[in-house]
Amino acid sequence: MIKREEIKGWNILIVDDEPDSLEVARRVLNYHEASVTVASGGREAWEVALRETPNLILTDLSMPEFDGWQLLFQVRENPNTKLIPVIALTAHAMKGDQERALSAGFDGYVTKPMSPVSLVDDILNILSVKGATSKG
Amino acid sequence: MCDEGSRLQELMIETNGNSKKPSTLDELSAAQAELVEATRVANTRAERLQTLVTVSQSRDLPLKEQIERVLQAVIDTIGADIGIVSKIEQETDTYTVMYHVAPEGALHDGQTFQFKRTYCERTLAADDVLAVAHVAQSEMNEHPAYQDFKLETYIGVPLTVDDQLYGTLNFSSPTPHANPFNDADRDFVRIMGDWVSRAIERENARIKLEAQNVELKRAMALAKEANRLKGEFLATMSHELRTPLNAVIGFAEIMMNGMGGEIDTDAKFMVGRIHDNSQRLLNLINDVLDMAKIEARRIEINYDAVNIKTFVSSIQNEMSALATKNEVKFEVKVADDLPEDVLLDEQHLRRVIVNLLSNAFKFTTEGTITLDIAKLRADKWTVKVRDTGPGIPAHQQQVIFEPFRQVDGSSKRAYAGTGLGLSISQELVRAMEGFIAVDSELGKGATFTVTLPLRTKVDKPEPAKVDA
Repeated sequence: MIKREEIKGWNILIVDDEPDSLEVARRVLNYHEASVTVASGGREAWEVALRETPNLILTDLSMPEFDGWQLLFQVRENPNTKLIPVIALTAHAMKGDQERALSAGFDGYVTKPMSPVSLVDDILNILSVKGATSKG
Repeated sequence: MCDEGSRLQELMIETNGNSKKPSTLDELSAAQAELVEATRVANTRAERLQTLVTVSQSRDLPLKEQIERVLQAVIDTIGADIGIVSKIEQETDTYTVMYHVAPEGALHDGQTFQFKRTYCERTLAADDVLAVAHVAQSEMNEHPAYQDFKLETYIGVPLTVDDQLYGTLNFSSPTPHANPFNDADRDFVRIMGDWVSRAIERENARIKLEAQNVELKRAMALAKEANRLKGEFLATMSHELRTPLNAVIGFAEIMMNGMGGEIDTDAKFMVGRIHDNSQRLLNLINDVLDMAKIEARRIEINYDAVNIKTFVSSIQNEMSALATKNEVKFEVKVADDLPEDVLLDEQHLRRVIVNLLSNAFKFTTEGTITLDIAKLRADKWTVKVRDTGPGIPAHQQQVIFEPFRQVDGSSKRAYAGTGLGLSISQELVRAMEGFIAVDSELGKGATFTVTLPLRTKVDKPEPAKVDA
């Protein structure tokens, strides 16, 4: 497995209420030498986003209480966070969610379960299409 | 009425002296008395007719009010103090006042009496109108009801509701009736009894209908709720089953790819087995849930204009790993006369084609697998998957579309798979308004043909739900 240098040193925030899903993503991104902050809910994620201004946010959509849609709204509303790319993690079967995510203003979506092998390529594809590969 | 009228006319003619002259004063006064009586009878008839009209106009009122009006009207016209509609249960010797009109405080609805100690016992025995104008002077003066209530006037009729004896309509007074009851009185009470019976029947029918409506509404709500719960259950099961399995697959992939540190070859092999088996289990779960969704009619078809060439080449890419692994030639043909963009449900059609190709690769060890996409007619196109595998004997060609079945019966399971792929494919194709057919001979490979309606953007149908 070749390390992808493009995301080396990035600070990436991953938000998911399933701990194992977080752990898989964290290990993959760590392997590619990104630093990862995890949050198990939208509220916690929003606090991290404000405090750390990560280079990228990967968030699950459906979470109890404060969900991914709400997180995107908060991030886009605040001048300090509004430029952070936000990628939705959508369940494979929920085709409607993917379309809704794009029209809601997510930079793109990665289907869950995330593939450890292609996760970084998927992220880079989304960001290059969006032209938002800036580092913080 | 007619008779009385003509008699009246006769009398008037008589008194006017145009016919035979009254010979004496006595005769004259007798004729006058006759005239008064005839007028009274005529008036009574007119009054009763008016009562019938009034009563028949009260059908929109609650039953209790309708019946009380009837009772009051009869009391007024016939001359009585008490009017009752009773319900009678002979087995328990019970007479229940269902509706009544009586002097204040004399009776109340729901009040019961011993049936055998009421005059109505005689009415039922007579099975017709029973009328007694002066009980004390009749043979009924021995009746226990006379001892109990001292009612001198009684006229009652049995009520038959829905072909069953219901009770009686009866009128009574503690005083004797002014005149003996005549046939007109009996007819009148009989008619009113009929009217009351029909009114109770209507009410029973209304109550029954209302209960049926309530029951129907309840059943519909239940069915709707059951369907909703089924859908919710499917969604939950889908999530709850896939989530842990996805974690297993994710960690296995990390280890297999050395992203979690180096592991030795043997460990790598074992992690590979964990991964492949988990993946197989996940596929099985996906198939079973899809089948359940199809059975719950929860598959939604979403048509989009899709570039056929792009669509096919993405499928080709998806299958390329299998093709290289199996050392079988994989050919893809797309006819030139097909429109560039075709309306289709990309997700579902991809599923069908990938499934057919996977089957072809699974069963074919040498030769060629062809994906052939062509226009059949102006309004139809076909997707053919051809292989050079062992073929399917004719008698098995229907069986393979049934859930959980494979050629050679379900027991052998020589080839991995859930046996759901073709069932799901068939249901999906049907949902997309097409059909799927197999053409095969033992030892000569098999061709699966999916025929679909050919549509472009112009006649895009509304997203449809499966209703197969």
